Amino acid sequence: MNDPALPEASNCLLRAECVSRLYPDGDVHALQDVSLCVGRGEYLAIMGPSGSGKSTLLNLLGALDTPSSGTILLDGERLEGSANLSRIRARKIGFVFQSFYLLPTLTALENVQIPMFEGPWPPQEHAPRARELLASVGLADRHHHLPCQLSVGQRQRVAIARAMANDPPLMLADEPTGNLDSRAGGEVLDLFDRLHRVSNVTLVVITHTPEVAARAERVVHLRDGHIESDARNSPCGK
Amino acid sequence: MRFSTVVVRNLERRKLRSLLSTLSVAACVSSTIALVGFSAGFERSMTEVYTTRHIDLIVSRAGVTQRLTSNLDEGLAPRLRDVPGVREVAPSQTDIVSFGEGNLVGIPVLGWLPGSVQMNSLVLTKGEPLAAADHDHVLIGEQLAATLEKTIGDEVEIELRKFRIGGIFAGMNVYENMTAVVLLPDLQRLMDREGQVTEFQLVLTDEARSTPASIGRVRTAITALRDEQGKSLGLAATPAREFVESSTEAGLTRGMAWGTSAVALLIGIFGMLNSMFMSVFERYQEIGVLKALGWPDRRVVRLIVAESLLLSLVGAGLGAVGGMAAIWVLARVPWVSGMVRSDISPWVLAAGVGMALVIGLCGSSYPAWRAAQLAPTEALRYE
Repeated sequence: MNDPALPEASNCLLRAECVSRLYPDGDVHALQDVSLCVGRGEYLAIMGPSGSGKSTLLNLLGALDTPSSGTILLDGERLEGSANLSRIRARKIGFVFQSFYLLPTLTALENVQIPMFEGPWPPQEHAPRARELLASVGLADRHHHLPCQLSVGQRQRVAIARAMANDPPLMLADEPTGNLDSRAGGEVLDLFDRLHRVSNVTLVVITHTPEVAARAERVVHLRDGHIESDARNSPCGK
Repeated sequence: MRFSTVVVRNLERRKLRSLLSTLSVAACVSSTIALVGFSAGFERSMTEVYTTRHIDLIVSRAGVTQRLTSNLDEGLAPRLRDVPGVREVAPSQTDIVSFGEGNLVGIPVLGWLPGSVQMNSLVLTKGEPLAAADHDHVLIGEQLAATLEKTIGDEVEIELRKFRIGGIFAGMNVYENMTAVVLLPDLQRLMDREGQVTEFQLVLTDEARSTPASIGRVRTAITALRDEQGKSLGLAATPAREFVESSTEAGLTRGMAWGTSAVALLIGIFGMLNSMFMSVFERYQEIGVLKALGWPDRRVVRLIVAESLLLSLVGAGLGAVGGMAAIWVLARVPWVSGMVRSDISPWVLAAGVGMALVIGLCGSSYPAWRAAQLAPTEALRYE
């Protein structure tokens, strides 16, 4: 089921063409011939039951893994076979994980600066920029707290600030509210809304939760490694 | 935030492991500094025995590396004196003896002629230099006197023969402070080597000692000496430093020091490998996160290697202090104090620091490489 309002090919920030991912160990086709275009500034949710290939797709779109076949282009640059995958991840993609993955020995301020080592900013700008980002996620008073001294909601907000460290055009979030209560989850989704609206960041969010998907402009449903549906959310539903 | 902050924080997380790794490197470095320092100090002490008396060349049997086995006819002295550039020739017999009192073994005893350059250079704190009539008299170094608890006029037993202490001298170095001096004929008789010496110590004229080339000419002239039948006398004329460095005693000491240090180095590398592997293994997921956030392989490698190098350098600092302390203590143990100097040359310290760097690099290279090879998706799945 394709929606006529989906982005034009020329406006794709992220484009997957006939992408498959086979795990030879179990002879499992996690993804089969998936084609997808994510427009610049678009807010996309990917849904599907466990084992449908959501995380595999996110790993491939995020240059964390390479497809068995097919092509992925990010901002016109082919990901498979690229020698610069780490640079692409550092500069063009922000990751938000379900388990936050903050470094436990570093403070919130220091965690946000981790991607900046590979970013475009000169070293003297790292700390001021990290402060700015933490302030933008409502954690101006938590700079020097270690992750273990923060609530889970605050940890996820630090992770979002970290994802924005190098001002990437694309943010990928894997079950970003999966470990949060509804209030903290709502705050994270509000942050995503604001990022999308104010900074025009392209957001791809993997979720099980219809409430999370409802915030997106477009929802792709995966099943058994295939795209089952790809449709725009009704503005009334948001 | 500096990169070094990430390095330090990672090490602070496992304080005990970091401390133990540091102590392991420190043990390796301190043992190297102590052993190599001991060996180098021994060689310097031996060399100074000659250089402080301005002895330029030592003539010994060619091809003999063990000083004590060099055996030359005492009658060669006039021929050596006739070599152009030679100002003074002083025969010397050296043996290693035991002193009955105090059960001291391995004490060098030197046989010199009265009025010789060696005898005249002794600084006596008590007594007089040995004269031609002072048979069965001995001069002993201050350290030896203290160890034996003897003073001037006392008797000591050397190789079961009694000698009267005629004087106590302040040696020019720690080695000499543990030696004894008797008249050459007395030592020759004691060791059944009448008419023989182990070496001749030569003082050259100012002109002959002025350049390496002029010294070389004297050396060549001595090695070219022949007997009445035209057969080579088989002499080697060697500058003091070279003579000591090429001796079997110095070679053995050096070999043992470096051999033991090599074993310590291997132990240090394996210890660091174990520690860094544990560290990488525990942080699979974090390394995956760093790679997902865009850290390239080379930065991951730098992180692991920097952690290891930091541990090693701190270990080197502790080891240097420990090594110097060990030497300081050794220099004060009566049994070995005559052979050990408490000052350590900068290159010995540099060798210790170099060893720590090798431990740091070799102990982290493979774990760092393994960390860099981790696929981010695999590492993120790791719990």
